[in-house]
Amino acid sequence: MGLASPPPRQAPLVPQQWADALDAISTSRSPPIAVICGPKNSGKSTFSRLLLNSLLERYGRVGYLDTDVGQPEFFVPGCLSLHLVDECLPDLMKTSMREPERCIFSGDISSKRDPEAYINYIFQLYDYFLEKFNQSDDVDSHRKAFLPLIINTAGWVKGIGFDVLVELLKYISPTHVVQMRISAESKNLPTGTFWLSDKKRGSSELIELATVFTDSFNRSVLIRKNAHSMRDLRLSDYFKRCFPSSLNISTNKELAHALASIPPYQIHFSQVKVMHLFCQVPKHEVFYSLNATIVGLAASSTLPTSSARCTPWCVGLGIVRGIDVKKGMLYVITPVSLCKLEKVDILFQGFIEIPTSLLQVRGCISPYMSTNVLHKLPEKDL
Amino acid sequence: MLKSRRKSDTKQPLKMKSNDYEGKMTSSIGYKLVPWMNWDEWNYVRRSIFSSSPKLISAALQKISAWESRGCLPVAIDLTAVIIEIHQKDPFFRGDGSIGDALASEKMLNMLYCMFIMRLVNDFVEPVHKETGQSISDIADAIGIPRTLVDIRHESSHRCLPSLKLARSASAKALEWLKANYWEPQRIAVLDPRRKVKSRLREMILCSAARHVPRVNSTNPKRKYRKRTTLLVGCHKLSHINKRLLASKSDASTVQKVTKRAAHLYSLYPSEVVSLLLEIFLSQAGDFSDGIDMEHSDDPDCNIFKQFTGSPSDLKMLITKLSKKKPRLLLNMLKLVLEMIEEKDSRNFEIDWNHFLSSQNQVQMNEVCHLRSLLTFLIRNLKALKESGQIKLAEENQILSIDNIVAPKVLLSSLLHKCLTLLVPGDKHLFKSALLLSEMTGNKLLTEKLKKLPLLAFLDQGLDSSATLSYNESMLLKEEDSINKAEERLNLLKLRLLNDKNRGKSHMNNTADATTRWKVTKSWVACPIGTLPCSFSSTVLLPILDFMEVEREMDKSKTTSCNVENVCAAEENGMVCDDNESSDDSNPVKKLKQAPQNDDSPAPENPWPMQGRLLIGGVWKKKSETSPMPVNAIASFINEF
Repeated sequence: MGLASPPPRQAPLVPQQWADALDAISTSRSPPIAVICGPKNSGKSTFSRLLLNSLLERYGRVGYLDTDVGQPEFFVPGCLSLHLVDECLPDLMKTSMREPERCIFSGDISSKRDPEAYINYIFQLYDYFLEKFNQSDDVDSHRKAFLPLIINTAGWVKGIGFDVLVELLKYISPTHVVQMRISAESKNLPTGTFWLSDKKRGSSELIELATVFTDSFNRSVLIRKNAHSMRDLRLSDYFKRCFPSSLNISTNKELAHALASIPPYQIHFSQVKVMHLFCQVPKHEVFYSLNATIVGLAASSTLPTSSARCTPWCVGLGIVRGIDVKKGMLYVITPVSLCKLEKVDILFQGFIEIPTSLLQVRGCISPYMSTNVLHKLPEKDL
Repeated sequence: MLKSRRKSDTKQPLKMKSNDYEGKMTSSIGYKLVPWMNWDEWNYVRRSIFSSSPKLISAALQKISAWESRGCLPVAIDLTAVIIEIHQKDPFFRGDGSIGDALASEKMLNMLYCMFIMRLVNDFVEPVHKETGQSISDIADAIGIPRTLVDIRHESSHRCLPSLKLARSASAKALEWLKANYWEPQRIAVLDPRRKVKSRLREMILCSAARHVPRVNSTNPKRKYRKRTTLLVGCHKLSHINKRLLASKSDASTVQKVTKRAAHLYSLYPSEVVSLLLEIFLSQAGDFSDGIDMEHSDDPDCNIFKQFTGSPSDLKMLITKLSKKKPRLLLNMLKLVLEMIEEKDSRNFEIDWNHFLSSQNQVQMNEVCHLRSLLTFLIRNLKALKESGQIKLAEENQILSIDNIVAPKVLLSSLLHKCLTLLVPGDKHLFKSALLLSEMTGNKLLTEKLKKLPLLAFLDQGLDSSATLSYNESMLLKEEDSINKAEERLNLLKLRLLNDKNRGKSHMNNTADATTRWKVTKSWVACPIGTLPCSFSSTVLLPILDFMEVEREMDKSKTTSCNVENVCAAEENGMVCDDNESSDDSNPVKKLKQAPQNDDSPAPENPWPMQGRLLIGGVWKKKSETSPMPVNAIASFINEF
């Protein structure tokens, strides 16, 4: 199986309704802060990309806050990331890999395990953006660039997912809220300013858009099945960056071989702290838990200063490829550059599962891949 | 609804037709991601969690919590851990009757039990229910979940909690169900392959044995007898197919077929095949020596048996054939043989020193002897494969190609290194192995030096036996000569070391400052993710992950050295012989000290293991970096004999 991305969906012609919305947002008086929300496969990402391109024409640089940890736009699953984009996206139907400006490791592919932490991560990234790129009360504010911000959200809009979205909108109070709606009414968000109680009138401009995919119901089933393999693909793409592009790694097989062969980074146990995000692991079992898993690399020294929220920034992901307890060494594979890595002193372990394609190649099969395992169900959809 | 489970939970197969339910999960054919590193780990947990010892149980629970943090924990294990933990909290189930951290509130206990039962029923029944629309109780019935559990699930989710008494007994039933439907079938599923490998291998060896019996017969009548009995015993166990194989007088095509099957077997279960091959080899070796022990019981010299192992035995034929198909087999075997020799050697030395040779000890010695002969054979094969291009040598850190087996060059030198560590003077097998290896590395200088090694060993043996003899003049002259030579070499080494050091320094300055914590590992051999490269073979090392406090004080490992022992920087810990200790210690028992841990070399990077070391008194010694060893210390050391 190659690393090629899934067959491209046909690029939609931008409907008039969408074009008007794009126009309205990008021509607003102040740099807009736009939140795009709606159920799964309603075209949030597509609209965000269109909006990004259209804002770039006017502003040159645009902030992009990606809160969809399951299917991220520019970075890896399990991370919330803030990007500063200064070039147009050439392909509107594909995600691309970009180094984030700031990033937080949530360690999960949805907010369900710890919604509160998830909300705090978003706030922290948003505060950072405001402070750096969208603040006017400073004396030398003239020198600061006022940048617009696009916030893409996850497609979980019911139950706790809805509560999370409401919290997010309340805190950020964006200038524009774009709500994507699909034909299956029951899956949509409520109309109107659903995040505010009746008495208040928000300052946000609300835009409701119909999705361009009329066959959205069928399509959503189809894509949801792929969510897992898309995440694997994304992670494979990320770890491919450990190697120079001249190596020309095109298949999973080659990547798995390359990962097995590359001399990893080594770090002594005493110089990093291992933190489990979702469960408690007894101290003497830590290495059992860590070996051959994906971890978030974070630096405690880079704690944000101004914000009350203080999750250490993440610089990227790594694979703990081996542990030598005798020498006290952890061996980590990561595409993060050495100068960034130098500050890393925390390894976060969440539930970002390592793609099995990276573990099983003929002659190089990880011990964690086993035969004769009692049957498992095909992956259940989230 | 919030889903509480991980995505990849184990469930009953979804697409079961109702008549397929047997309450058994079928085992999968392909590879699956599991949270344990090997089945031993799994078996340890299985045994511990069902034991009666609270200590073992809590150890198992902790291990499961580590597995859980990795994701991909089968739901049956998760549920077992839950119920066992609840039982540990319930005074009713606690065997010791102690209160400890037991829960006093019956209400709480009841809720825990009911929650567990709800999860169990839902996890195993609901997916099928959703798929097929069958009623919950029908499905539960089909997969053997007791009806009580279904009722309790219904009662507690829709009405009120049942009595604690009922919940307790139901929880015991649930645990039984988990045992019968997950733990037992899984245990058996893992056991099977080992048996399969064993029977197949036996079949193959018999097959090739049948072919060679006539030839072997002519060499030794005793062996003929033996061979036949083994054959007869084996035949009883043979299936019809095997009998046919034998009956056909095993022409080339049958042998080929069998080899093919064995190769397939190897690709499926490499470690099992390798360890079984060795096991059979050793048992064969034991067989032969038993008969001869009677005649030569007072002679520990094992060369007498050489005629048996030296002749192309059936097993060796098999290995040669197999390794042509699967070159990696050789590397795997080499590693195991070296490890076994090392282990047995250290055991033997201890026995050797304290007791006279017992018969048991002698069997051990014989085994080592056979292993050593096997080693030479393996390396010869390796060389043949290299020459035919099936194994290639590559500079380290190169990315492996998929088709060819590429052994990094560093591997050969580390193999050689290991051989030399285990080398005992007079041991022709190991010596030959080492020589072959050095030839393969293409290092002519090293080969030349190795060729001279036996001379030194001879000299040393002479010294040892001369304890009762008086030194003659030529002996003394020789000594003087060797001391002079040693001094010369010492100075040379000193110079080289200095150069090396300087080079190292300039290199350090260029790349990194003193504060760097993250470093790219200097030397690395490709190995699957989750394993470590073995320092002396290309095979992989399953890491030992048990947490230990980082010990600053190294344990001094005692190794008894029997007159001459070549310690050549034991690879992993850089074990070196302490200079002072050995020079003024008349006791031949030398303490080996672990050198301070070398942080940045997981695999030995020294292309020349002898670099910086001198062979003195049969002991490879690390030359201290700062001051050259005083030559008179060497002299005094020699004079002690």
